[in-house]
Amino acid sequence: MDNLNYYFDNIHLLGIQGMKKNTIQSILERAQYLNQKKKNRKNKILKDNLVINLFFENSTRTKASFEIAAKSMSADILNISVSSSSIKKGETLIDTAATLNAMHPDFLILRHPNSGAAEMLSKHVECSIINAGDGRHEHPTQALLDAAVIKEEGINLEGLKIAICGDILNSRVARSNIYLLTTMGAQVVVIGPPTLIPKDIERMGVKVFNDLNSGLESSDIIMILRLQNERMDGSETPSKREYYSFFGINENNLKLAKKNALVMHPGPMNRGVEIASLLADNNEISLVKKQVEMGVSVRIACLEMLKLSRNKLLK
Amino acid sequence: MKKTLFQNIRIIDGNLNIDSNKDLLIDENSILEISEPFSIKNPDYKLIKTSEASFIIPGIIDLRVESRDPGSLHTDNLETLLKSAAKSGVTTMACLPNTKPVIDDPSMVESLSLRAQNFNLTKLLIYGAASIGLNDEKMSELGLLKQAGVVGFTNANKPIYNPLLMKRILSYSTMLDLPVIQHADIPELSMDTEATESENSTRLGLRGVPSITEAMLIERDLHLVKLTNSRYHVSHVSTKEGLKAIERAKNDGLKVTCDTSPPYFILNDLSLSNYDTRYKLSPPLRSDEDRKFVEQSLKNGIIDAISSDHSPQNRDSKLLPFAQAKPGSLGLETLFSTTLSLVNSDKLPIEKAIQLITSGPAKVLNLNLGTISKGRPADLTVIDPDKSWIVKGESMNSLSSNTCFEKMPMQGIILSCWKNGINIF
Repeated sequence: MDNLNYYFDNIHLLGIQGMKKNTIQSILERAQYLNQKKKNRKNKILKDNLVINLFFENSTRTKASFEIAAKSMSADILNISVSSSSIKKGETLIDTAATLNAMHPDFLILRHPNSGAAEMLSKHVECSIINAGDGRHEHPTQALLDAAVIKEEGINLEGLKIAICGDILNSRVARSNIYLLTTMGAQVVVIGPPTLIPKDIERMGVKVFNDLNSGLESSDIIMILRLQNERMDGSETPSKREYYSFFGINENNLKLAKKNALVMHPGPMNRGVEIASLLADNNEISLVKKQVEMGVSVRIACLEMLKLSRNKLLK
Repeated sequence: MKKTLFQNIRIIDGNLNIDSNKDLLIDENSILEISEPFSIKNPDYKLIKTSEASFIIPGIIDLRVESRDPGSLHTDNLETLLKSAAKSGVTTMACLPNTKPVIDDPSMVESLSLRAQNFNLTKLLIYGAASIGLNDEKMSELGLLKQAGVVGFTNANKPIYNPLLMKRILSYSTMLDLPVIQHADIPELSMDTEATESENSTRLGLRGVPSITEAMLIERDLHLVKLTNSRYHVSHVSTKEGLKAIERAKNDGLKVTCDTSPPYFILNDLSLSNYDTRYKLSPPLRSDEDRKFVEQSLKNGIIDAISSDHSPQNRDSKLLPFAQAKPGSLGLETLFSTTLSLVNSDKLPIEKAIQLITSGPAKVLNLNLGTISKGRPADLTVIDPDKSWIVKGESMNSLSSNTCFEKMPMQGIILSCWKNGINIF
């Protein structure tokens, strides 16, 4: 491990914004290497380290994948579920963090419904914070795993045209991906109804399309976002059937993208809303399963990177 | 195809600013030829000769009518509505979604427009409900409504009031390039009111709504229109302050249009003096200062169109104390004559008056209509401007007879009306 260099000088992983190109590059390469090793990637890097998974929102894949990653690095891991903790009794985030901090964890993996929660916490604890999704802000490990999957397909990120389609307004996945992909030299297009496109997003270096067909044109990758149920009942969009007929990706409108274009989805999917069921299951086009698989490898790489930073910076 | 020739007829086209005598040849679809008088000769053409005074204008386009069908068939039905329109020289009109059930579902649009089409009369365009059930809570399926053919979105006689909903509707509508049509009112201020707040309402003891209410909602909307870069149309504007707000928005380059209706440039709130419920309208009749400003705004272009605001109400809904009577007046059959009255009183040049009921409304809805030129659909209305008549609600083509112009003398009658070259009146 000592000959690895991530060019990263922070003990927290809060977001992709501001992350250097060579840092991203090293995480992706390391994740690809680990992914190829599959079961043989177990190590003892985090032996005697305590990792706490603190999730204020429901999660299957992210939580499980962090847990598997930490365990394969021989860490002790503790999962705290919000429904059965003191948070339900009205404890503030800071108090919960202080309590956990007193147990001397080395890593705290946080998912929280409010943007900025991870950054706030990082100022009040001694352990490393990994942002596993904060509100509508960032979900850095998701963007990293998405990029690693694309690279694993033998596709170069530089010059690639990627369309991110759906609820951009409320999506942390979209924001982290935009930061990462534009840093790596990809061309990013966002597609969605005007009610789901946040103000001035063009300033983040992307092109905006309200028309699916023109947005898809000559895309190499289509990244489909999940549309939450409560946004499809006449609030931000009128209905599921209208959303599907204007923004649902199926094998037909996919033809407008480049030949051999691939489809990604961070999950969980709404079949028949943002993605046609048949397309979701077509493993020649859909990278959904590969995304989940890569999730573990990327998280091992991230824990490794932070462990190195801790060794270096906290001496 | 059968061809019809209007020989040596005076053509007035407010869009092209034309007023001259021509020969006009049409077939059962579009305008074939416009040329010098007596230049077209062919014994096979059906010849239409008219008196010297009469003239032909593009078919009238009406931006605001209410269909009581489906839902309130004892008040009016689709057939009488369409016949009334044809008789009024109206070739295209747009109806509000406040039918029962409300037009908030694509299938409603399809069924109503199919039924209307089968009468082969005036073309019925339809506005979709901006919110489900017109309840101002949830956005309707605006995209699917557009696919079904609607030409705009509105809450009909209620404002789109919830500011978050309005922001979202305006924003979403930009994707569909259709206008959002507003009835500018503040429900909390107008609830249970009977008239515009004024000396007159005070003397009559009628509960008043301040006239600035209209401008208050328009001003709010205009900020949202600027934010979202959307198309916005204010219907039946009736106040000075409201019009001034729209004028500022137009000068700022926003995509804003508006219409008014004849009661607001013909009548004022003094008409309410004997509690005659025919004068109960929504918005209520305004002061004479407002009326004059509306008149002036028709001339200087702040107002884009005159709409009939045709709102049939059955006898029982009007035969009530003023407070309980339903607002609204029939408007189709008085639309042309009330507009022409502005010309006869030297308030407007004739071309401008014609523009306000033809190319003006066509532009609001981006319709390829409202002008007489070669190749365009032969939507035409022939007028005798000299004939006078007395308004009588009972003899109008409607199951209702509520007109706020009852017993008023009018000038100008419709001689014939042509939709896509077919004689519909």
